[in-house]
Amino acid sequence: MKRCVINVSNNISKLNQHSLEGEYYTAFSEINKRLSSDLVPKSFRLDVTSDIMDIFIRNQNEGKKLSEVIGTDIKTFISEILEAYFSTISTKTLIKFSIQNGFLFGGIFGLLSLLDFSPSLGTLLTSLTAFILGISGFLINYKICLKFSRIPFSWLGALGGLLGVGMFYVIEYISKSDICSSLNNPVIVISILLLQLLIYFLLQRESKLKRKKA
Amino acid sequence: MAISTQMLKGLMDGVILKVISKEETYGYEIYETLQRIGFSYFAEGSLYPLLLRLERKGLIKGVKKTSSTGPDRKYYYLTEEGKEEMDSFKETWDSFNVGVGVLWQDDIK
Repeated sequence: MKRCVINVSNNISKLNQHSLEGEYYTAFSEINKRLSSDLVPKSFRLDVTSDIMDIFIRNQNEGKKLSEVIGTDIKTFISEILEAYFSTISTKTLIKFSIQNGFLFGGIFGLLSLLDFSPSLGTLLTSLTAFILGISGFLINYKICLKFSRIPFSWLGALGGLLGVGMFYVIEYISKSDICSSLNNPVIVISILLLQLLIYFLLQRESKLKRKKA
Repeated sequence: MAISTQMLKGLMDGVILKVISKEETYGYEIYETLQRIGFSYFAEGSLYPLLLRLERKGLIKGVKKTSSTGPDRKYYYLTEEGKEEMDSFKETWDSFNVGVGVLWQDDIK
């Protein structure tokens, strides 16, 4: 029988030192895998997996079957957990997360475009396009997760990949256009790109501090 | 009889809030209370996403406490918003109950 110790977090509880077996192990691994997504914060995942670990270990020790414990199949159970997360995100948080994602996309794609092209107004336009796509991409992913929480995250990853490929075409198009030569100050361009990444990290830090306070 | 998921969710939110309002309690104890009062079709695990949703909405708060006799447990208690939600649920439930009662009473006559 498959047996493994699963450490969820360094400081959650001593229960994490116990082991899960068989269907409990498989189910827990599946939950952990599905929750390991950028769309679900790490703090949420650790909290949930710690709670579920408690439930699983107790019921495993009592000799109960997994189906008796979760009352449904594992995919539905995970969908319900994800739905509990996505359906309770406030509009303010959603807007903040999407803007944060926009800054991340804007900064990264702007810097990536510098690998092939010199800093110019075209770089900033590329970055702006990526910023808008970052915001809309996050909102689309959120809607997909909320509506179809049974969709594997690998599909969302593929969507992100497609977005990335699309972005490189945009970068190429903008960088080859005449507009690129109208601003040639690399310091200003790179500063703007780095500023975007700085804003992203500040917003992320603020979210972490807020979660710690809660 | 299969109960509509949405209907059950709405109903269970109110019921769970009431159970927690009586005393600070943990998941398994809530599950046992539900079984005792007649919600026997409820699995312990299916209670967890509901508790999670209520917690994320700020209606209940979960605090992990160490236990000297057994594993650590997450105790839940009601927040102020939770109390308001529970009262609002009861009000809505009572008004529905009266309406449904009247309809069924008419059938008997």
